[in-house]
Amino acid sequence: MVSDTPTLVSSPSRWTGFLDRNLRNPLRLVGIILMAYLAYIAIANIASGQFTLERFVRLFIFGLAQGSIYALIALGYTLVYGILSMINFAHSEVFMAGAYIGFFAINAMDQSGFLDDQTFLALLITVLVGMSASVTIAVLLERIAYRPLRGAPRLVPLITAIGASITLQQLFLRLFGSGTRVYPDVNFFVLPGIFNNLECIEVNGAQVCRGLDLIGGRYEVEFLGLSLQIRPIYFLVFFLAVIFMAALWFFVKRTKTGKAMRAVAEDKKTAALMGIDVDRVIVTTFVLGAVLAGAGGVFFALYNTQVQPFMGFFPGIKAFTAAVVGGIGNIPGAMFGGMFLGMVESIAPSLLGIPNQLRDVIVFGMLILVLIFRPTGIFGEVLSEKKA
Amino acid sequence: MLNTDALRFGLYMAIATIIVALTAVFGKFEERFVIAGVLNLSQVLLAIIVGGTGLYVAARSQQSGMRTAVVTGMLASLIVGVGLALVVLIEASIDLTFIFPDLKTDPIGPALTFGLELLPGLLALLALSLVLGVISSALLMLPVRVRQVGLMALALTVVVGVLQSQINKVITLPDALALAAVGGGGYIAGGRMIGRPLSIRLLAGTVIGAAAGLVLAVAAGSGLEAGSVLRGAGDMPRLLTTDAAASMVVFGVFGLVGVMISAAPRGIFYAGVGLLVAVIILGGLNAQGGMTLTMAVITFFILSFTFWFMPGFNRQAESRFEDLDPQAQQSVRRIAVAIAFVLMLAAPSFLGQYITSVIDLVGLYVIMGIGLTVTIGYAGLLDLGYVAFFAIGAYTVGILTTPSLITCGGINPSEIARADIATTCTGVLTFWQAWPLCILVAGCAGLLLGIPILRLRGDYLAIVTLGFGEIIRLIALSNTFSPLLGGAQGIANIPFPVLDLTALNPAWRIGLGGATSIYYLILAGVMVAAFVVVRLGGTRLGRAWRAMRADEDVARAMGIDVVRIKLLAYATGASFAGLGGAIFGSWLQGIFPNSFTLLVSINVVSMIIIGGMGSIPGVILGAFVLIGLPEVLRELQDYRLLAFGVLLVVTMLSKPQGLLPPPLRRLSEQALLYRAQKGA
Amino acid sequence: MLRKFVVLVLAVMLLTVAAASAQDAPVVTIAPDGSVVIGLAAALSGEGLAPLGEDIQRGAELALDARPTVTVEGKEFAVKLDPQDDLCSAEGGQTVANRFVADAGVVGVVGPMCSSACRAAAPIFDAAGYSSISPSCTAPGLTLSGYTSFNRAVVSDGFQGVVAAEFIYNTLGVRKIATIHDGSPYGAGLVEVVTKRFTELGGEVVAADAVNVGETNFRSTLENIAAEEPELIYFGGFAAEGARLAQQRADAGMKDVIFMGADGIKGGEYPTLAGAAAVGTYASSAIPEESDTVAEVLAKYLEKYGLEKPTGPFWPNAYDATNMILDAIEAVGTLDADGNLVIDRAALQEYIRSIKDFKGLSGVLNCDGTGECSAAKIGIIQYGEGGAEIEVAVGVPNPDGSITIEVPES
Repeated sequence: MVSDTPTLVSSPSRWTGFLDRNLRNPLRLVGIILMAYLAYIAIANIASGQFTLERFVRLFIFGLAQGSIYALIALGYTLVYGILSMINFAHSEVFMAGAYIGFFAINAMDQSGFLDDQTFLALLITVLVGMSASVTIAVLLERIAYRPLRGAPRLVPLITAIGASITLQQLFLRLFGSGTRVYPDVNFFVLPGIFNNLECIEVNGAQVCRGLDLIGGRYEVEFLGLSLQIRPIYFLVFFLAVIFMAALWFFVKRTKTGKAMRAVAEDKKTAALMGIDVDRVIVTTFVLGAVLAGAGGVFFALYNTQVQPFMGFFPGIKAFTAAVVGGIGNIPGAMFGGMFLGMVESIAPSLLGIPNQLRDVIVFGMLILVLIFRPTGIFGEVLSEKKA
Repeated sequence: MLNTDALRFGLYMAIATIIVALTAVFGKFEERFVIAGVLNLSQVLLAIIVGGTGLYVAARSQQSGMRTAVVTGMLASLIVGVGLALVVLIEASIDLTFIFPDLKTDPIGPALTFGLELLPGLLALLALSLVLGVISSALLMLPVRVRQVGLMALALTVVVGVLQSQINKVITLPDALALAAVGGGGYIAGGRMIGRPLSIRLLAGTVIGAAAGLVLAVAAGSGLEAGSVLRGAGDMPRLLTTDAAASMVVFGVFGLVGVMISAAPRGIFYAGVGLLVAVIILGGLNAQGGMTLTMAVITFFILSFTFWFMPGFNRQAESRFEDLDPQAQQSVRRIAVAIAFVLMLAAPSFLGQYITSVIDLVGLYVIMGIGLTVTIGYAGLLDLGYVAFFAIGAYTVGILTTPSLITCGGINPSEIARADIATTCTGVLTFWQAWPLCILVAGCAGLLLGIPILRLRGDYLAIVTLGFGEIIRLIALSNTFSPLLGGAQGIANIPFPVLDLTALNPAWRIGLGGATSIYYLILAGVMVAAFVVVRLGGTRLGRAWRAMRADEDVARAMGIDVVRIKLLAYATGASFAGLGGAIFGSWLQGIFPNSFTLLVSINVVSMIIIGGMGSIPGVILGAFVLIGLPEVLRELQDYRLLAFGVLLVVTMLSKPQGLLPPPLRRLSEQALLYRAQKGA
Repeated sequence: MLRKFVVLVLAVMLLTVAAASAQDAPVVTIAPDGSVVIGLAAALSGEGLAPLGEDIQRGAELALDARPTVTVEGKEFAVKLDPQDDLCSAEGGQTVANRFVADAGVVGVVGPMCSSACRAAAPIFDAAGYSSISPSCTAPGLTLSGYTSFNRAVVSDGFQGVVAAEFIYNTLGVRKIATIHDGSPYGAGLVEVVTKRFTELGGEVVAADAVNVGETNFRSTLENIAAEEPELIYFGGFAAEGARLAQQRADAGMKDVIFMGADGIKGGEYPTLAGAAAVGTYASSAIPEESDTVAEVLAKYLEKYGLEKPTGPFWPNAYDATNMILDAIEAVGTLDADGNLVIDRAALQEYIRSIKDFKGLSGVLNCDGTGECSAAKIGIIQYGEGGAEIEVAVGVPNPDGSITIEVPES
């Protein structure tokens, strides 16, 4: 582990040190050659006009939203890993539960007309319902499937997590049926004063413009000479995710419970001796992860509309990858990893001219490349230095 | 006075039961009879939940007196009953079918109110839960042994009833009774001749059995017509109506089993008795064409008898076993292994095609699990992308044995299905020539994967290997490589292995195309894999792996070439998956990329952990649990994966070390550590 | 001692081989009070495909509701369905096939549901002399492999794809298309056929890509396709992915590009899932001959299962497949002296292979002897508001193998 920590390099020049480290190691050499080759393809594609700036911006905006969702889920993996150093495989079902139960809330409000009258309130309720569903599931998971196994060999909780994941998927399938549920169309108009030429309808012969449709809208925008298709919800998801993550960061760094969490992550026994209720801290961690996953689930469902019991699987795997790319157990790492993965997934296939079918090959290839250079992820493991 | 903790448990159970009820399970299971026309699965489930809660709660509050225990248990059962009644009431007053669509076709109400009107039905439900609570709590008053034997026998009877449709085809009642009689005869003879040398006893048992077989086979014909007492509604007896030579062999083996269990150590004793009991129950089921009330009662008593008396017989047998001289003890063990082996060889012929095909699949997973035992169990390297090597093996055999880009120049594999092309150009190799290459290719892929992840530890390995598995699947699936790999349509028409012994006898050309014949190939694969891996564990390399797992840094300090042995661990594990893949491809006679999902890797890893990491019998048991169990649970129809997930969690919670952990693992590890520390 | 056991082992092996080679006579015998069992193999619990499997099961159940018994020589026998989950995978198909084969009481099989499962099950059914009629295995290669047991009551993609290509080129007048499939043998096979025919006609496939089942983000796929400026996107796959593609194509600036799929997105969940984006998109499927029976059965379907619409497109095919098997049983079944129903499996196979003019829900079925029983016509519909289906063209095969696209007057 010693030679991999770049800050410890004490060679006279950083640059020669860099060369030395990377060229001597055949693996890194291969990695560098591969990256150079990919960069060459990318530049060639840009130069030949196959990959235009317009396309880049479009994909970037979408990657932003997708990445935010990944980041929100990845935080759940990272938090739990940081404290218990176990992979919570059932976290993808926590995400699914948020989206699925959120559906019943928003659907009921849609039926009663409340969604149209008080859109903001209705959306808020939906998010809260989704979150509480996720939190319930996560707390039960911790209590039933993980807590009794805290002293067991490392891989054992992994298996209960897999079992719990199958159970939850199948329980939802049997309870709510196999059909796909569809979120209703939501129109959430804001700022009619500023966007006074959007979403105009005729009311009693007079034109009324309702402003920007934040959720369901889809606009052609000319921006710096680029014609872009923009859905405001992508930005909305991004900003909400950033707010949630900032709140989490504040919670972990500034509150007493956050401090306790870090202490437990560092050393459970010592933390217990210092008067910290370890069980309570661990439950809090699960709750935090579930809050983010539940919110992520509802946001995801708002722009993807389809919810079904197996919907957690792909986002779960991707988010887990994101957590590892960023350095598992590391909160900024998970945020960055999620965004990074969303971007790679969205932009890389076009940029490199690879069929989209092989998109995940790029994603996982990127993961391997990152880990060749940084075996503990880009940001390294911070929350738990001792885990290896 | 009442134990509130216990009552809270009743409340939790009530909530859980409400959720279970909302999955419409009670309605769906009404059609599934455990005992034909008398008891359905829905009622059994209700009894298990309500009665089980009562028993559990009563047992927990036992220390505060028997009366309190019974009252608490009864109350807990009643709480669950009230919960169910509440669901029925809600269902009757509100339309829940939008949220719970399955309730439309299988409503809870009719299933739980026993066909009565709503109110009387609910009262009946409450009364029933009260009665069940009292009965189940009152079970505590029975002596411990009676209670345990009774409950176990009851549980097994229900299991037999649930599985009846699958297991009643195996053997008929006349067969079963004859076999059990011969086994019992062998047991008695073995006990009588206790003074004689072991070889004489064994021979006597075999001869008695064989003679009985001969007599029965000759005498059989007339008494076994349709509708006669013994045959009932069952099929024609199989053993009794085959030729005399065959029945002599089979009955001889059962006579031998009887003698064996009269003087055997615990494991062999229970295995032998289990075999005989299973034979009787199976035969009985077939005679009835399904579980009837009579059959259920008989099964219950046979099982109770077995559980009640067997420990006594076992002690007797064990003391006889201990009287034997060591050499004779050794030969008892060997013969037991030989009988087990014989039964394994004969298994496909009496288990039928379906059960054999399930065992085939289990066997394939065992081969993979044994391979992964090297990577995870010995070397401690987590691998969640094991399916990649399985896929590589399967695709190698597919490419090499079918007409492909190599032999037929650019024909898209999906078109090879066309019969006209298939006859004009064939594969490069036969299965027998191809499988070593599959192992080789998969092993090399293991090396290749090993290189970039050498420096990673723990959970980073998990995600990278997982990614590798997905990469291989996506490449197999992709349009880009479809000229070689067939894309989404996979490779069709892979020829099955043909055992060509025409050099010895012109008639000996055996195609291993069906479940019952490929079984032998898989069995051979499992045995070779188990042999290699067990042997490997004892070598210098095996010890080095274990040392690395215990502590990598210490192992390196001890002069172990960690890089080399890590790569070897990946390559060894991968080659077994390659072998499994090769057999898989030619068994299915076609491969599809969608067979190689993450679920396969997860299954193999779970198998190893459930079985107990590092133990070969554990892998086999784990494979039966993870691959066999979902097939057994098919009787639960839509609910099988749900039950499977729950069982997975429960198993791990109750047995965190696995079902069959390797003996003395901890000790050897400590010894290794100690040695390592002393060396350092 | 050892030698003795070697001999014993060999003896048992010989016995096993003998028992294995002595196959049961390929005849089903059913006691007077017994019931005829029809197997059904479909994905009933797996990921994403369970709605299609349940739809197939419902189709078969409805057929049995309408016809709960078979009558042979004036004697009635009850019919029972044995539904088994094949998980839509090759291993699943194989296991279920072995299960049915091991149960000598199973007379015929409806299914399997997916082409990979059909491919894995066919050799097993062949060996046991069983007959299966799949309501949904559409891969063209299945009837070219010489299986004796395999039949399908669904139109082969070999035909559906050709009709689609002709329709796109001739009727819509489109010259540049993009294709997307979902990585299933069904989708990939269909796209292959369409591509082949469309290029033969002189059109150009400007982009070909694929998506993964279960994924949600198709933006980059669509952006890449948009760059090639196709006039139409042809999709081989099922409702969930089809709906997402239809919706997200607008985000990629292809709102006006035509979206077309096949029977995977016909009816069922697709219009609900895609919502407004479904309007104007095309789908194809075999069309029924007389539509009032279909409406009648559909009404029963919706009432019995409490749904607003069927969860998949294949229930009419399952309905037909079940009825074909029941017809065949009535035709070849005989009574023996004890009043048992005796069905000769070989005769059953032969009868099913030669069924002619079977008027089913999915069309008039004619089995051509290779297992192909598909309906004679392919209808192409366009979705209107609220999931309305407007018939825009019908593909009719001509005796010389060519195809005529008939466009109804409207």
